[in-house]
Amino acid sequence: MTRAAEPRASLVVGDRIAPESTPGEALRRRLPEEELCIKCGACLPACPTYVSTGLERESPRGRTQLIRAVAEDRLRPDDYFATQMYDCLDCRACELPCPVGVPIGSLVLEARAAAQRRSNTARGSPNLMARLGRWTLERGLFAHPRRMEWPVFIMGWLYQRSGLQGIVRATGVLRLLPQLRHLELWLPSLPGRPWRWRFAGAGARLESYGPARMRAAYFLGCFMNTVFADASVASVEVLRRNGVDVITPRGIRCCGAPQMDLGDIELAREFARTNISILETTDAAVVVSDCAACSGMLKEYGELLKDDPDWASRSARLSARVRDFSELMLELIHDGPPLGRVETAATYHDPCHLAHLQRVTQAPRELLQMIPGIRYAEMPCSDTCCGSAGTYSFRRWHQSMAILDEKIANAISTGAEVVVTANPGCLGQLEMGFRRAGTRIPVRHLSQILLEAYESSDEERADHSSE
Amino acid sequence: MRPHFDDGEMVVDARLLTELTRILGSERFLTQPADLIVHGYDAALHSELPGAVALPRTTDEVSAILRCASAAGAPVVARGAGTSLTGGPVPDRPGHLVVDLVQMDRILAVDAEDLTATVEAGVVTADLQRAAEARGLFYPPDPATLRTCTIGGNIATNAGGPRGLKYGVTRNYVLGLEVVAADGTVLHLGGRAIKNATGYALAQLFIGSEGTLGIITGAVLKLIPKPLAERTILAAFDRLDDAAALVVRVLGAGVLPATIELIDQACIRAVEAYKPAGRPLDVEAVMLLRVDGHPAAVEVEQQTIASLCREAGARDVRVPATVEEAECLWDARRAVSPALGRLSRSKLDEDITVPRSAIVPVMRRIQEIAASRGLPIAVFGHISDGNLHPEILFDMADADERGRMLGAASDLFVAALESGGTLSGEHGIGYLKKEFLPLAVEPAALELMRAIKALLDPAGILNPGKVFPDGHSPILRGTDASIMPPNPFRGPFPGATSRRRKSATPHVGTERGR
Repeated sequence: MTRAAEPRASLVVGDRIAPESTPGEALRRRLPEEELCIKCGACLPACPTYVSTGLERESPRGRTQLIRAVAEDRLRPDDYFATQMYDCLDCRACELPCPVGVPIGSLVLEARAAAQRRSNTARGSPNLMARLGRWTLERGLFAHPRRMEWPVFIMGWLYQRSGLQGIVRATGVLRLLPQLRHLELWLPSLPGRPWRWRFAGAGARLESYGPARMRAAYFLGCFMNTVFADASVASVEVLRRNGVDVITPRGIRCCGAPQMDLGDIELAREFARTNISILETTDAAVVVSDCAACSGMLKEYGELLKDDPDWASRSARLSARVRDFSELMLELIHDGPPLGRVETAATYHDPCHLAHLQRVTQAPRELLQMIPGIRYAEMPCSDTCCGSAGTYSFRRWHQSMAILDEKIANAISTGAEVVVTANPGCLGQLEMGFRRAGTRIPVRHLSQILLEAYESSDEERADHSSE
Repeated sequence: MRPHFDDGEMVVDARLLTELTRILGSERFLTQPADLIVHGYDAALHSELPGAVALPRTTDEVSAILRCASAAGAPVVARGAGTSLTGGPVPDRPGHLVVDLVQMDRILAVDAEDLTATVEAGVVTADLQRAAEARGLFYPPDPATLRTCTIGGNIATNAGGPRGLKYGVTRNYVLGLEVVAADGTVLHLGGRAIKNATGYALAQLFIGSEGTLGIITGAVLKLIPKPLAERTILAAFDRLDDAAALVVRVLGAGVLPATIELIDQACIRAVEAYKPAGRPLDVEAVMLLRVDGHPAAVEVEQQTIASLCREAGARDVRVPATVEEAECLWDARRAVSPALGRLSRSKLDEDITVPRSAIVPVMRRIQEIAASRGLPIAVFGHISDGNLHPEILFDMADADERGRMLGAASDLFVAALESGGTLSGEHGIGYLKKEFLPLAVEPAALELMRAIKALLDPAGILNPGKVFPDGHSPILRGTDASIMPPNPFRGPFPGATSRRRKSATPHVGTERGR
């Protein structure tokens, strides 16, 4: 097959801009923001990749200066540049210490998109397999939360429950295929059925137990629906116990976070427009998600579409309605049902897109500490990235593992018997981290611990009434 | 417009390139344009592309790099985390070899009995402080960028910080140094003993030498016991003079605070605009003091200072009881720099240091300079040791403002020196202030400095174009010569000007006289 015959149009992502537009031109629009950088270096110690490599190009300051160099046509936006942009975890930890407020995270995402456009339009690039891989992730598997249901279900039964996984891990046969092996190592123990299948009969509305206090649109993320269905079931259960009528609108696309991560801003915008038009027709007061990546992305819709005159105000209105699960729960819990005892030592890991992007750090901790019996201990560097970071753990396996192992050591040092977090990427990554460390400390979503407390309260009451 | 890509200009020759790649491997010897760009800047105004970047991990590697570089005659610029405010780690000309020491980041020992720490040059200052604190010990020097900057850079610039009055600066904590000389010889200077009267204090010579005499690769540092408690006092003054007079009152009462910080009106207004908290905008100065020591002692000292503040005419005195409340007050101090950063496109952060008695007149003079040059200058500083940070707010892209900024800086230096002060208290000279050095150092002393430089670095390959005036200042390029003060030496010893020599006249590179 000759290159010219490649089915480009269908596989190329993000080439909707005019071909003469160069990455430099695309980035030049952001130059006023880059120019804010005073190169003080306050961001360096906050950056997990800088701390672990000691390389300036892997620091937020370095990345910002590289973007500026491309915008000023001093640097070619070549593959080396693209690599630096993709090596960013997008954990946004750098934005907290920045004294002048450079939006480093979104600059890097824009630079990824610019570098991507260049490599799509450059002659003879990139190879078909890489493109196919991207296409599968961006437009296939991640494009709709539904798409992952069957693959995950089949993996759960055919691979894990059949005992095949045990054989594969014992023989180490996947050592020959490193990337597949990494995926296999990451795989947490899969639940029986996805969220949507379990509530298929209930349709789009799950009513609150007892009198309804509010109505919320539940934004079901792809991983929460499938790999972490037990957690998402718990989230909805907890919401309903707190008087929330939960509706799950049909036709919702992916939130757009994986597409942003892979440098396809245009596709993320497309999904955002679809989601906004569906969500704004619902009568729910808030949009809630128990996936920090989703809730973070939904809150960014206003920013993402601010230059689109038809969508700027609609997207801003939608973003203002979004709450992360922990934020909404903190508003509701005081007037909710009583929490029962959960006797355990717990620590909390901050998901980057909750702590840095949404600046939500107190809500999950307060909720945890409200549960009677929980002995809470803060882990050192609780808001340092776990190394999962979208697709980073698969693109930079060794780097990701170095960051993860540090995280796990910090978690273990607290003596915790359970590690709580609020994002699917972190749940999977931390679970793998404890497997690597040879310990069996369970990792739970905040909603699972809350549900445990409510169920323990049920039991306490049952005991009382039987006495 | 056709793009002009900076692919780097190699002064480093091909044989050196091959040799260094062999020693360090391509992972730690970088020549990609992207890597050159990110090793050509610091936190000052100007950047320049290196020709290649070396990332050594051992002293032996640094020695090998310098051996090769001196054989090839290639200029070498040592670099830590690049937080300098004077351009010290920025190559003087394109193509120099940058040696980045951040990967030499091992804390080799913290000895609780000897009260010493042995570290490599790339150790981050805050990491050393944490390691010391874990053993109940204390490393006091606290430059503002301590979470980022490295010990090697601190030593090379003799970095200070707010704790200067009570605890001194980096120099006071260096017992021994490991330095690689220009020809690659590894020198071990000083030692581990607290007292050392053994021959010339050569380790001291390298402190503040800004990479012009050798590359510092390791240090033995003095630690002290960690103070058990600390207390904060904040006082707002209607009059600057009253605020400044407080320092003398406090010291006179036998209290030695760890820190006394002054924030002037321009800073308060900037902070209030940045993070509103209902601060009084009409006060001339806010003073923040911190005492540390035994819990019982700091309790008493806090009250003593509070009453001294009231006696001195403070409008408002705050005495926080908890650490959290105290931190809220310090947040305002920490917000000064970012708040000022948002007011203008560029700012020049100076660090003149004057005798305590001259603080008020110099601060008044700074206000006059701001008015006459037509640029805002905000001042904060570690007032107890006379270290002021006038921040000139301007726009680097505007040639006229740039010229006025340089004029204002020149005026500031003259004001500091005429009051018996210095050009720099803690940032160093770099390229930024080198043309002004003859104002502060008498000709014979400057010649001695040049002689020492020539002895230790005969080929002149170590960080060329720094510290010494050479008429090649990137910041003065294309500006008017009239900004330079006509009378060169204004140093701290009155009467010494009579021995002035012609050769010491600072000359400004490419300017044309009017």
